[in-house]
Amino acid sequence: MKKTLNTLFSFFLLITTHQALADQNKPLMQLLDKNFHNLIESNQSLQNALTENKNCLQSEEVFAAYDKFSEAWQKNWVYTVFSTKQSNYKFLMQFFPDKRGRISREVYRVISSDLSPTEISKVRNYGKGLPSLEILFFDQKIQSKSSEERICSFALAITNYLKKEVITKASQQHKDWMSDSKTSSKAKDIDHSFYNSMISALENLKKTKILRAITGDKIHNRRFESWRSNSSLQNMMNNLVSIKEIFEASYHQRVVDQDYRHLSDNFFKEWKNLSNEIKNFGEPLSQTTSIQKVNALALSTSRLIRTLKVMASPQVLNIPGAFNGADGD
Amino acid sequence: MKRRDFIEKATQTTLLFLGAPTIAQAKHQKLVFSSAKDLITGKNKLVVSQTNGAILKSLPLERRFHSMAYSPQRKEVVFIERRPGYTCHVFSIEKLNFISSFSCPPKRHFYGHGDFTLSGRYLLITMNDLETLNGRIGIFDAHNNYELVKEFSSGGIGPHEIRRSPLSDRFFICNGGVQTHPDTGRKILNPDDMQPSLVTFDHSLSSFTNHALDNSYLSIRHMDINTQDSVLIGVQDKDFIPMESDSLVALHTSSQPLQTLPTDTEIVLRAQGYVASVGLSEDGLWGVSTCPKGDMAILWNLKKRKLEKVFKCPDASGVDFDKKDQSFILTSGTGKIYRLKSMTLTQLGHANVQWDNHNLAINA
Repeated sequence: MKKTLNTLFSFFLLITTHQALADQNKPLMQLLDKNFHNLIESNQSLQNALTENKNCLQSEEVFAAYDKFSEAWQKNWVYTVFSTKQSNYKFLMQFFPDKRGRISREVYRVISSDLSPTEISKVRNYGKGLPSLEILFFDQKIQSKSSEERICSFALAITNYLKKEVITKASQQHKDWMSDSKTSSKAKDIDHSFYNSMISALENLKKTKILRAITGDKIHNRRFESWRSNSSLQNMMNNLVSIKEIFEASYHQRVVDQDYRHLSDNFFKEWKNLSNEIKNFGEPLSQTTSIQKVNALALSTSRLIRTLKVMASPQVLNIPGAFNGADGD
Repeated sequence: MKRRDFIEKATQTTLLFLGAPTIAQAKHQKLVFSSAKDLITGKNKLVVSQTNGAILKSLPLERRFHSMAYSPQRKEVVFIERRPGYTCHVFSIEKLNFISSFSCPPKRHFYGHGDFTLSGRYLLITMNDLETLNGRIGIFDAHNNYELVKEFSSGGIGPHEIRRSPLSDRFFICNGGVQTHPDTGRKILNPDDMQPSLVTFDHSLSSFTNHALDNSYLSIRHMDINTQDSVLIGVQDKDFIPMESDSLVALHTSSQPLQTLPTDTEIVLRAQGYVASVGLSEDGLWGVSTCPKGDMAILWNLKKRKLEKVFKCPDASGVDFDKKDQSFILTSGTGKIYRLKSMTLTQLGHANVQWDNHNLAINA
C-alpha cells in the first residue's frame, strides 16, 4: 500500500512539473513563431521585390528586402544551430564557414554557364543558399561577368528555391516544436534544448564568426561571415538580439524566482558590453586590421557564455548541457 | 523550500521506502558500467546500474574517464581515463569497489581504450608518445599489479579504440590519424596529413596488417568485433564540410576489405559526421552507431550493407551488444538507458547521471 501511494505521489509530481514547464514554454513558442513567420514573410518580400525590379542591382527595395531576409535568418540561426537536427535546413540556407570557397566557385560556374535560372535543380546545394544571394548582389567581379538580368533571374530562382525546398520543409520542424511544447512530457526537452542552443550559438559565433579570421598575428578579412556586404557585425548583432529575446521569454523570470537575480543581471550586463563593442567597432570586420579589437569581441562573447553556463547549474536552472554531443571523443 | 529541492527530497524518500537495489538482488541481471557525470553535483563518477536505471554503485572519479576493459576471468573492469588520460582504476565486480589503480608510463598518455588478451593475463592500452606523437600500445600484466611489461608501435598516429577478437588473440587498433598534444588541448596538429588506419595483429606481435579508407579525413575511431572477425567501424569526419560528407561507419570482414557503408547526405549532416560508439550483433548481421551530435542512433543492416533505421535518441552515446538477449543496450547523456531489439528502441530506465561515451553491459 505504502509502495503504491509513493509511486502515485511521484507520478503526480512528475505530471505537475511537466505541465508547469509546458506553460512556461508558451512565451518562447510565441517568440519562435514570430521569428519563423518573419523568415517566411521576408523571403516573400524579396521574391516580390525581385519580380518587380528586373534591374535588381539598382533597386533599393531589393537590397532592403535582402537585408530583412538576412536579419530574419540570423535570428532563426541561433536556435537552428542546436534544434533542427531533424531537418538541417540551416545547412541548405547557409552553410558557414565555407572552408574552401566552394560557394563562390559554384556561383561563378553557374553564372558563366548556359544554365537557365529554371534549371536551379542542377545547381549544387551550396550554390543556392543565402551566401549565393550575397555574392550575386555584392560581388563586383561576378557583376562584370554577367548581365544584370541574368544575375537578377538567378537571385529570384534561389529565393524561390529557398522558399520551396528549405523554408517549407523547415516549417514541419517548426510545427513539431509548437505541438511538442504543448505536450507535457516533451516540454522539459524543449526547455533544455533551447537553453543549450543559446550557449551553442554563442560558442559557434565566437569560433566561426570571430576567431576563425585570425591565425597568429594575421587577420583574414574574407573569412568573416558576409564580408562582401560588410554585414558581419550586423549578423552578430541579430544573433545577440535573438539570444536576449529567448532568455527573456523563458528563463529570466525563473532565475529571478530562484533568488538569483544577480546572475540574470550579469547576463544582461555582459550582453550589453558585447553589443556596445559591436555597435562601437567603428569599421566593418571586412576592413579591420585590428586583431586586438577582434580578440576583444571574442573575449566578451566568452564572458557572455559564462553567464549562461553559470545559470544552467543545478543550483539555478538545472539544465544539463549536451554531454557527449558537445565534447565527445 | 524550492520546488526542485522538494521533488528531489520526495524522490529520495520514495526510493528509501521502495528500498535501493543491492548486488544480491541484481544477481544474474544485466549490469551497465560506465563513467558518468552526476546531474546534481556535476562531478565525474563511475556508475554501475541495472538497466532500469537503479544505481548499484557509484564511486567518485577525479576526472572524466572514457571506456572500460572487462576481464571475465578476473571479474574485473578496468576504467581508463579519457584522452589525455594518465590513470586507470581497477574495479572488482565481486567487491563492487576499486581494488587498485595504475598509471601510464612517463612521456605517454592514455587515449581511453584497452582490451584484455584471451587469457585475461594482459591488458593492452592505446597510448600517445608525447615526444614523437606516434601511437603506442602498452601491455600491462594483470597478474603483476598491471605493471607495464612491453610497449610497441600502434602502426599509426592517434590510436583510439583497441579490441580483441572474441575467440582469439587477434587484436584490432583504430588509428584515428589525429595528432594531438596535451599542451594544445584537442587541436589537430596534422589536419592535412591524417592517415587513419585499421591495424590488425596477433598477440605474438606478428603479422601486422594495415587497412585504410579512401577519405583520409575520416578518423577511424571506434569499433566492435564479432566471432567471425567482422569489424564495424565508427568514423569521425575531421574535415566536416556540410553537403559533402558521405559516411559514418565502415565494415571490414575477412572476405571484404575495409569499406564505408553508403549513407544519405542528410543523415551524415544530421550526425555532423560524428559517431560516438558502435555495436555489432553476434551474428554480424546488424550494427548500431550512436550519433550524439545528431541526437540519434542508427541501425545498420550489414548483410545488405545499408542503413536500416534511424532512431531519435538525444545525446546518444554508449552501445554494447547483449549476447544473452541478442539486443543492443544504449546509454545517453540524458541519463536514459535503452534496448534496441527487433527494430524497436525501448527506454528501459533512467538514472540521474549523464552517461559518458561508452558503456559495458554484462551479466552479474
